[in-house]
Amino acid sequence: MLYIHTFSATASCGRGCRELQQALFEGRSGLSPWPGPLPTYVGTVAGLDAVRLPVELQAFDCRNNRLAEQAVRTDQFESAVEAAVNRFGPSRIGLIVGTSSSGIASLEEAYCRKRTTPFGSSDRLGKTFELHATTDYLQKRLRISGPALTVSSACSSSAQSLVLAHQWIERKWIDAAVVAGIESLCMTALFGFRALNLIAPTPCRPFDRNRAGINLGEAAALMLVSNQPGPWRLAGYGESSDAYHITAPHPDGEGARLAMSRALILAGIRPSDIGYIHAHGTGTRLNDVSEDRAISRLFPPEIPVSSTKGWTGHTLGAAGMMGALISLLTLESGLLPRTLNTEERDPCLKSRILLESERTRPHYILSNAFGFGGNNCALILAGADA
Amino acid sequence: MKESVRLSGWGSVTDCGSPDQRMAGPGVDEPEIFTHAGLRHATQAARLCGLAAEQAREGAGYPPETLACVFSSALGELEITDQICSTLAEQPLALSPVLFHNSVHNAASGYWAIAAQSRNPCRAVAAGPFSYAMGLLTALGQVQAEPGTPVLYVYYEMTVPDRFRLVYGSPPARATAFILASAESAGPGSGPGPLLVFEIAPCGTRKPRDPATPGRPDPLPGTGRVEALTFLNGTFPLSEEHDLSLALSPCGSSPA
Repeated sequence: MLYIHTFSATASCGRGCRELQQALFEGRSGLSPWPGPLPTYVGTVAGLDAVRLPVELQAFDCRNNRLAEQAVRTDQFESAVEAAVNRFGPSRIGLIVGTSSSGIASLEEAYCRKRTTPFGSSDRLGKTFELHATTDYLQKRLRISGPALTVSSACSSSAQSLVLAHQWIERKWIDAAVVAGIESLCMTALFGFRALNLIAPTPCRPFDRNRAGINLGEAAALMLVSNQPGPWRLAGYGESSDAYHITAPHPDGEGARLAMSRALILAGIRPSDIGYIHAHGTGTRLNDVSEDRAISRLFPPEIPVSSTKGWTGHTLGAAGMMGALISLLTLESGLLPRTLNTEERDPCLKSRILLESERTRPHYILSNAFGFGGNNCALILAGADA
Repeated sequence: MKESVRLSGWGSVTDCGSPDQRMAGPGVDEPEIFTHAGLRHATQAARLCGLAAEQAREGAGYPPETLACVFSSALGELEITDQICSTLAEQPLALSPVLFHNSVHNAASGYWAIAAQSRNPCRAVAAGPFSYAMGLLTALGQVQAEPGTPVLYVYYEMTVPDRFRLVYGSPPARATAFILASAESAGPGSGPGPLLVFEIAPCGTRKPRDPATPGRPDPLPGTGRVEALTFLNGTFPLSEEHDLSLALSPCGSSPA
């Protein structure tokens, strides 16, 4: 069994779990107009420019690693890891980081400066731009030395990271793991999603009949997990591939349905045991419709469903862990967040999309993350005694 | 502690034709399995990995849709990253949607899943200089978590654009593929393959890396199918402190 001991959240609408929870209570979005050359809204983490890495790790300096550093300092995460190091030893603690683009923004900057000379060692590509750069940074920063991996399966990356932590701890390859989803804003994603006509010029409205696409956001979500009893647990997970299209989800949500039903089977529970579904809910028509079909084919119609992308934006590789983390906050507070900004549910949808927040105490929460390449990952989170 | 899985198939492919050949259109170095309409825009890495995967699968006899997969690469397709960053610096609004969706690290594995029509779990991972062994460890963990689903493991690195060669060198593009199944599985068709015995072992003090040549994973799987097997015998760096120790034992013998 994989238990979750502590977690740290850094997102546009809140630095730290308390601020994030407060934003969810108050309906305060982290989205703001992007100052760049595209008309859209983004979820930017304020204050990253002022974050300084420890002197001995200065070579890692870039926005993505500053975001990681900020997350380490938040919610007493660093001291929780120190305690785990003392308990298990550094080499028994693994690290699995989900990110879709890592520090690519630093490479974009180099090209924008019109440099023509070849890259060399002074460019620190391995410490800033490469996919594994932030994983390497976190490992050195937290002084842990177990197996360390970067998962980059687009928007399901960090949900898969939690699954891998479970698999490795079950095999006793490690005793504990730091699991992370870390994504900072980059031009590649902004202009790339714009090229796909998926960027909304307004704050995103998932599941709304007047939806206009996605907003991008940056976030870092960290968890410390082990097989020793803790306050929350990963009750189940399910993964699947659509085998359909490189960007578009299966129109009937077949892959999403398969992932969710595999998660239910592994958790040993019925669909009606799920008290709330934290949807992937990006705000594109294709995602909304296919996810709704998958949910409504599998679950009773009264189960509440919402998307929190209106608070954070779509945080891509970090989205899976953000979803898991918000699910833990929901288990704690009993507040099921509404789908912020969404006013009129798309009439073609069948699920009970929350337009107002509700209070209840779900025992099990299912959180979805779907990505390019047709990767689907559903996680079921629960309290330790559920 | 030593553990084991069954090696059911293996394959290895180097390069994918010259840039000119690539421009000549479909048919050049096209994996036979790439028939689905959704593969029109498949990347060079996807094709190279597809060729290696098909070699491995022919040996194993598993239908492609029965496999889960793990794809690992330290750098993915820097050629695409280079094109995107150049476009962003010049004319960001001209960025091609195909170039963008092909730039994700899981493009190669995503195209494979479409080609194979597999609904099973599919991951794309990286671990800098430890990408080969960490990717393999990820695949080994997947086999053991779901013993009923064999796993295709593909490790690949592509040729890097000129401006990256001082940092990453210029070895040819290559992909190596293994099909791993539970040690208890008999396997279809041609009978069970050898056992792959593995262990996570402390490596003692590793020689510090030359800071001038970071990035490239140490083991670079060789040119042919036979050489691929040398990457399942020996020790491979897993982290600063650990190796993945691998040994193939002949068919039918029990794990050590």
